[in-house]
Amino acid sequence: MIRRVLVRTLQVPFILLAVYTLTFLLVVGVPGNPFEQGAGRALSPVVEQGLRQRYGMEDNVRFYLRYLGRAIRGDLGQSLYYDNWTCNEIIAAGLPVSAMIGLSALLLAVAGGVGLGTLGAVHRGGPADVLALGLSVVGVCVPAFVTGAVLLVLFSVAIPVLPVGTWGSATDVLRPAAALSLVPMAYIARLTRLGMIEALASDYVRTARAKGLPERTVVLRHALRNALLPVVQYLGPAAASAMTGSFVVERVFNVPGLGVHFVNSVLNRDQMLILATVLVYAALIVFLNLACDVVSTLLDPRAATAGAP
Amino acid sequence: MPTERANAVPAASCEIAPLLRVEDLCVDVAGEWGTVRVVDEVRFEIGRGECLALVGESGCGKSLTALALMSLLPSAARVAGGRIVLNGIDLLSRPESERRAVRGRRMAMIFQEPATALNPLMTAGAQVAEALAVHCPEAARTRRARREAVLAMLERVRLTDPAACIDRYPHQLSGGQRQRVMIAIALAGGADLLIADEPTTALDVTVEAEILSLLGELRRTAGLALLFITHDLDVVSVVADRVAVIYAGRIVEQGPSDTVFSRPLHPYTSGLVACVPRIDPGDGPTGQAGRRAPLPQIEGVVAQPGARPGGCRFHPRCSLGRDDRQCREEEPGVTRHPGGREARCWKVEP
Amino acid sequence: MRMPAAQSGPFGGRAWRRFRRNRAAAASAAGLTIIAAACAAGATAWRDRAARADLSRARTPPSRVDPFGTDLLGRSLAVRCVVGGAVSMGVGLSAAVFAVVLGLAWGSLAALGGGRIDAAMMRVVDIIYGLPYLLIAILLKVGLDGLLRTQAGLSAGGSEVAVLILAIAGVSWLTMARIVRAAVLSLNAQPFVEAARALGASPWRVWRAHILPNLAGPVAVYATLTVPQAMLQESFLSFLGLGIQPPLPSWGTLAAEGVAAINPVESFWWMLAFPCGLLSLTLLGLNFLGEGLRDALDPRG
Repeated sequence: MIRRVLVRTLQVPFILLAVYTLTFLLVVGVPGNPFEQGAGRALSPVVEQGLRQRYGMEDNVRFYLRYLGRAIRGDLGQSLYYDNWTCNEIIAAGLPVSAMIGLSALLLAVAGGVGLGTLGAVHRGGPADVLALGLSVVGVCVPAFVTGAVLLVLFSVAIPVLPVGTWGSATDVLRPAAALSLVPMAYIARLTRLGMIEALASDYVRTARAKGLPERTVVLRHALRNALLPVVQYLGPAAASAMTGSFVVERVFNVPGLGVHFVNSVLNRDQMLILATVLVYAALIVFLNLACDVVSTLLDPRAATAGAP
Repeated sequence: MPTERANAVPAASCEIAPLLRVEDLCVDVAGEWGTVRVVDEVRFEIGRGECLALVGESGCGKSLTALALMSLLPSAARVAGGRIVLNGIDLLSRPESERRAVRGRRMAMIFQEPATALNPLMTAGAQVAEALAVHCPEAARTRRARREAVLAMLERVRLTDPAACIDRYPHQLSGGQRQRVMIAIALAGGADLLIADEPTTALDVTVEAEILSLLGELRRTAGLALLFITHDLDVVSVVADRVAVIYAGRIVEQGPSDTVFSRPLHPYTSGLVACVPRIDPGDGPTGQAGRRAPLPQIEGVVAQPGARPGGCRFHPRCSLGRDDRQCREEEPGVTRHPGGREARCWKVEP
Repeated sequence: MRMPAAQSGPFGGRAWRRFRRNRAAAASAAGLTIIAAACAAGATAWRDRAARADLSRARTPPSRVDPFGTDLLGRSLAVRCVVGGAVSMGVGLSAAVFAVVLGLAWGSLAALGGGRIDAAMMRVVDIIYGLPYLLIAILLKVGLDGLLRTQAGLSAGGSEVAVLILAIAGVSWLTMARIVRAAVLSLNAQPFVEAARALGASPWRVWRAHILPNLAGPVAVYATLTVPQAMLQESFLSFLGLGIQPPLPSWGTLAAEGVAAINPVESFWWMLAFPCGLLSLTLLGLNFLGEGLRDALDPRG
C-alpha cells in the first residue's frame, strides 16, 4: 500500500509539469499579442520590445524555463494587466475566499447527500427516498449558475433577509456555498443511496442483525461504513466539480475569489496571471485527488492487498 | 452410508419439554406474479442438546424456515401463520424488540458463505467483540477484558493461533477460519440453539469434517441444540439425531436419522437416498457387482411455488403416485408411524 | 466472408419495448423533439428579429405581444430564447459529435494497441479526467482562438463558434473513450472476432465490420449523455463571457444578462427564468433520455 501511495506521489510533479507545458503552449506559445489591449492598435515595436523585456518574455523558450524556475521557488510572476500587483498577491487575495466557499460547499454536499441517501435507503419509498431520488436526478442537470441565480433572487428580492453583493461576514459564504453544493450533493446522494441499499441487503448486515444488534448500530456501523467507500472516492471529482462551479457562482454573487481573477485574466489576455492561476488550481486538484486516494486506501483494508495502482 | 454417528446424544435428554417447537409455520413471499406460500404448515420440534437436520433440494423453503425462526426474513417475505415456541414462549406473538432480544442470546444462526457473511471492513476480533458486548456487557468493560474474552471464544472454536486472527480482516482468513469465527460470534451470547444454514457447503471436504466435529464437540460440552440445514445426506448421517425431509415447502417425512435413511417411508426420501453415489466400486446402486450402473435420478424438477401440482405435491415425479387417483387429487395428511416417525404419503403402510 | 455479429442489433425489439416502458425517457424524447423543432424553425425564421432592439419597450414583463417579456435593450426575449436555444443545442450537438468521434478513435486505438500503448493512452485520460473540465476548455479556447485568428485569418463570428465547438469537444471525449475501450476489449475476446482474424482479415476490416457495429449500443447511450454535458460546458463558458459572443444569443449569455439585471429594487425575473428554465429542462430531458437508453440496452435488474 505504501508503495502505491509513493508511486502516486511521485507522479505529481510530472502531472503538474504536463499541465504547465500544455497551458504555456495554449496561452503563450500561440501568436496573439498580450500587450494589445482591446483597441487593436498596434504598439510601436520599440515599446513592445521594452515591455517584453520587462516581463522577461522576449523568447518563448527562455520564458518557459525561466517561469518554471521561478514558479518552483514560489514566485508566480507579475500580472500584465494589473501593473502594480504580483500574481502572488492577487492569488493570495482570492484563494482563501474561494477555498472557504469550496470547502463549505463540499461539507454541505457530504452532509446533505449522505444524510438524504441514508434516510432514503432505510425508509424505501418514503418522502426521504423520493427526495433523494429526485435530487440525484435533477441536481445533476441544473447548472451551478442557475442554482446560484435562483438563490440570489430568492434571498435578495423575494425574501430580503441578508445583504447581497457584499463580502465581509461569515453569512456571505452561505449562499454561494449552497449554490455550489447542489451538483456534488446530487451525486453523493445517489452514491450513498445505492450503496446503502446494497449494503442493507448484504450477508454481513444479515449477520449483524442475527447477532441481535439494534437496528441503528447495524445501519450506522455496518452498512454505512461500507456504503461510504465510493463516496470518499468521489470526493476528488467532487472537488473538481466545485472548482468549475466556483467560476460562475463567484460571478453570480459578486464574490472576490480566485475564479473571478482567472476569468478576468483570460478576458484581459493576462498571460502571466493565467499561468499562475492555472498552476495553483492544478496543484490543488492534484493534491486533493492524491489525498482522497490515500484516505480511501486506508479505509478499505482489501485495497492494501490489491494489485497495481 | 456410514451408520455410526460420532456424536450420538442419549435419548433421555428429550423427555423434558422441547427447546423449540414449530407449529404449522407458513411463510409467504411476494413476487412479480403475486404472493406464493413458500413454507407450508411446517411442524417440528427440537429438544435440548438435540440435532435436527432439515433436508431438501434448493428452493424447497428450508432457508426461509430458518430465517423465519430468527425473524430475519427479507422484506419480500412474511410469516403468514403458525407458532414458533421457544422455551414456552410464542415468538410470533411478541413485539419486534423481544424477538431481537432473543437473537444471539437464546437462538443464533450461522450462514453458508462465511466470506460474505463477515463485514469486510472490521477485523475478526472486532466482530466477535461486538457480539460479546451486546450480550455480556460486563465482560467488555475494559480493552484488556474484551481482548481476553474474544481470545477465549476463539479458542473455544478451536481456531489455531487465535491471537493472530483477532487482528486479521476476513479476506485474510481461510474459509474454515472464517466459519469458526462465525460460530464464535454466534455463540458469544450463550445461545442454547444454533441454526446452521448449510454451513459447510462452501468448504472443502477436510475442512467440512473439522467444522462438523467442532459442532459435535460443542453439543457435547455445552449441550447446544442444533438445527442443521443441508442438502447433503452424508453430512446428516454424521451429525443429526433426527431428520426432517422437506419437499416444495412441506415436510414429507420426519424421524430418527438412521431409520429414515435405512428404511425410508416416503418415495421422495427413497429417491434421495438412491441418488447418493457410492464410492466403493463393488456394487452398483442396483446391486450389480463390478458394473458401473448409471446414476439414478428422480425424474422431473421441483415444482415452482406458483405452479404446484394438485393433490400430493410430489406425485408427478413419483413412480407410485403418478397414475394414482388419490395421489393426484387429494393432498395427504401427516400419518404417524412407530419409532417416532411421520410421513405425508398415501402409499405408506401404517 | 461475413461472419454473423454476436448479437442482433442493439435496437432489437426487446430493448425498444423496455425503452418505451420508461415513461420519463419517452416523455423526454417527445419533449426534446418539440423544443428542438421549435428552436430550429424559430432560428431560421427569426434570425434577424433576435437583434431587433426597441428601447421604448425595454424591460417589460411577459405580455401578449412579448410572451417572454423583453430584455434591457427591448429585444423580445421569446425570440432570443428560441434563437439562443438553436445556438446552444447546435453547439452542444456539434461538440458532442466531435467528442464521440475522438473518444471512439482513442478508446479503440488504446484497446487494440494493448500493453504499454493502452496504459499510456488511458493514463492521459485519467489525468485529464481529474482536472476541472472548464479550466481546460477555457485554455483550449484561448489557444485555438489565437491560432485560428492569426493563421487562418478568419473573421470573428464563424470562427468563434467553431473554436468554441472544438474546445468543448476537447474535454467531452473522455467518458466515451473509457466506455469504448472497455467495450472493444470485451469484443476483442469474443470468438467471432478471433475467427475473423484467423481468416486473415486485416485489423481495419475487423474493426470496421465486426467491432464497430457492436459498439453502436454503448456509443448511442453515451453520445446521448455527451450532448447535455457539452451544452453545460457551452452555457458555463457563455455565462462567463468566454463562449458565444454578443449579439449572438445563447441560453448561457441570456442567463448572464438576467443575472446582471437583478437588483433589490425590481426583479426582472423573466429575463432569468426563461433561459434558465429552458436550459434546465433540456438538460433534464437529455439525461432522462440517455439513462433510459442505458437501461433499455443494458439492464442490470
